[in-house]
Amino acid sequence: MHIRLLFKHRPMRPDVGLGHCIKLLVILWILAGTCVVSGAESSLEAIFTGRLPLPGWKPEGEPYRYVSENLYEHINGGADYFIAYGFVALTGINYAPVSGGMDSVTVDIYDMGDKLNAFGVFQPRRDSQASSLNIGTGSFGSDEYVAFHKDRYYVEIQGYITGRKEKCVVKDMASMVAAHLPGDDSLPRELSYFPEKSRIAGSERYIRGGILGHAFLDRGMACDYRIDGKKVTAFVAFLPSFREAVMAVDHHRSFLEKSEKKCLPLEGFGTHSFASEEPFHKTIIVKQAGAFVAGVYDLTSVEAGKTLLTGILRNITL
Amino acid sequence: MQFFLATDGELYLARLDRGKMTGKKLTRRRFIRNITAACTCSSLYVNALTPRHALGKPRKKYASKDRMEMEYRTMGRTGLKVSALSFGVMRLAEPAVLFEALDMGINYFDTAHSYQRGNNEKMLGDVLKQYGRKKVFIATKIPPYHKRLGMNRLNDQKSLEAKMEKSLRRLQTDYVDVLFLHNIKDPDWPAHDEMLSFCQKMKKTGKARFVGISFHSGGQTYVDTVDQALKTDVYDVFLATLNYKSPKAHIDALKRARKKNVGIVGMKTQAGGYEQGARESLSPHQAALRWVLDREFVDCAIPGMVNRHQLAENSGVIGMKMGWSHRKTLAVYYDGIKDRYCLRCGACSSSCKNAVDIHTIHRSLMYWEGYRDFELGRKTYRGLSNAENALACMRCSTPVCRCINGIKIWKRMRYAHTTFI
Repeated sequence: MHIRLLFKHRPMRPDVGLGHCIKLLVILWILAGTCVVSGAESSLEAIFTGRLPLPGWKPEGEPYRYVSENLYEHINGGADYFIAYGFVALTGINYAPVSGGMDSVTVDIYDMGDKLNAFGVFQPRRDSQASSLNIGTGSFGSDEYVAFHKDRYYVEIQGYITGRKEKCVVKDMASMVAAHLPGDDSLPRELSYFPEKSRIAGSERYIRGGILGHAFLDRGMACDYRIDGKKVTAFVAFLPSFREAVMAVDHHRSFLEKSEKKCLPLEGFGTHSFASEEPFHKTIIVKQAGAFVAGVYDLTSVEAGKTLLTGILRNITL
Repeated sequence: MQFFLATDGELYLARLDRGKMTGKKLTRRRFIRNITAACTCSSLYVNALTPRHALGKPRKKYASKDRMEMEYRTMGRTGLKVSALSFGVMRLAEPAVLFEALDMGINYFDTAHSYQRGNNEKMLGDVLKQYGRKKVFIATKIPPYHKRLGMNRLNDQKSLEAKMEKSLRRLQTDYVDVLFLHNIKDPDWPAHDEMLSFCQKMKKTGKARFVGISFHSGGQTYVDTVDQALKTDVYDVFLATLNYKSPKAHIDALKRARKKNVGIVGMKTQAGGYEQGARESLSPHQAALRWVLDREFVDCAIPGMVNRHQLAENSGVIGMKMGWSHRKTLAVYYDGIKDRYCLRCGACSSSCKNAVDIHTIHRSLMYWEGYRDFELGRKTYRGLSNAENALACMRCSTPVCRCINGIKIWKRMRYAHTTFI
């Protein structure tokens, strides 16, 4: 009655109708998100109970779950690292041999919220010399330990194996988990900003906290290249807006000038770009493009990095 | 002393001078002059009562590194002269920040076997190889237990030694200055035979100059861990959670350790440290760090730093003394956040009849307000179903939720809903 009266006095205008539609869409979107999250959790449970363990193994207790407040109870000081990369929750389980004994396998699935975060925690933990095990999107490990990432998940499987026969169990369980985790095997799309030519495989990393240790370049990707036999590093920082990207370049310039380094215009790259000397990283060239700041450092000369920077800028704007 | 006196319809400015009263007729000009002077004086006086004035002049945001002189302290029985501000390397990815820290005079670097799965030790090793190993002190940590099954299964001495060898290889050195048993969860572990013989062997062979334990358990376990470890008389350094919200029992336990000349390293020193910004004139991180460094029993603190901004901010406290204004900063800061900073005691969980997940909603707000990560806050909030999120609070006219720490829960829930939905 009351509502009807309200409507009587305030007839619905077309823009109000549009507003209601938007609200409805937002609600539907939230509901869909909720379903996805709960769906993801139940699919993890289904992996633990339906797909795993392998024959000869049984669950040791119930699956456990940690969130950011108590993650340190599980992995102590390393927890802060995961939290900084957007950790949402960890779901895990222990398995023991049906025949008894001391052997055990632990499966930990970290939900990192998105693909980029999962890649971000995986990559620095990877041994640069380690070869991929072809599990998930990227993987490394040994007979007793396998780490891999797939979509928004980072997974660690740790074994305590004494019997020779069981040596493959960790890898087998990892393959099984990877095959049944929701999501796809593709790498984060942000990797496509970096040209493939001369890129050092496995050097790609997602940085939270500051590229080159600069808080104003808080978030972004970096990877190494070999140019004329020398290793250089290219980066793309992700800023919230065009304006903040311009401000980040200004901050960078003023940091270098305070460090008594000259900032010269980067010829051929227009405004919001410069070439200078980065402390501990030789020559650096930097250019803002949209909400990004791209650069190349550890250069022996400005010219050496220009082609690479041009390639990155082209990929960003595509 | 001046005052106005009205007689016969005229205003006089009266002055009491050495017991004698003198008076001048109050002209318009004289009146304006005196009122202006009075207003100026009173505004200055009122300004002196404002919190900003009371808390001291707004400081330069961060101290200049050129003017900073590092403070060094002797780390208990080890005799190591360590920088009061030391470096928790754990999350760092950029070696340039380490070089800058070394240039500032920071000489104690804390890493662990498990950080970044060993790559953290590798990075530190690379930097120190270039800088000069002997000029600095390295602390690393070896997990005493088998990962995950920790409470049930301790590593044996052989496996601990293998881990130590691996750490030394990554650090590109023959020895570490302090070797910690990482994350002691059970007070009995430090006294375990395997642990003691491993630590003694490491010292004897020179692979570790000194040994210690690290722990961040809560409640009585913290106290018991200290006391049990002290009984062994093997451990030279304790790496322990310590911040301005630490319970008195924990502080007393560390003081007892100090009396036995055990070195004390503080970690998680800025727990709950919300970023500057909410209160422009304050730097809570600095005040929280200074609070720790002002404890006489603390040798150094190892805040985790990932960029130059944090390094500059933390180094800004060096040379400062925790004066009245800094204590006030911390008190005001805590006062400012205590109505929203959830201690996660869980006492509120059953007070809502609507099954609102108060705990998770507080966490999502903490991500936004504390860690400045709006996306993570929103994502966490949106992970809740409509039955669990604060939708019910928006319609609630008689909130029954109560927080024993004084948080106005229903206000916070509504705030979260309007912020994240």
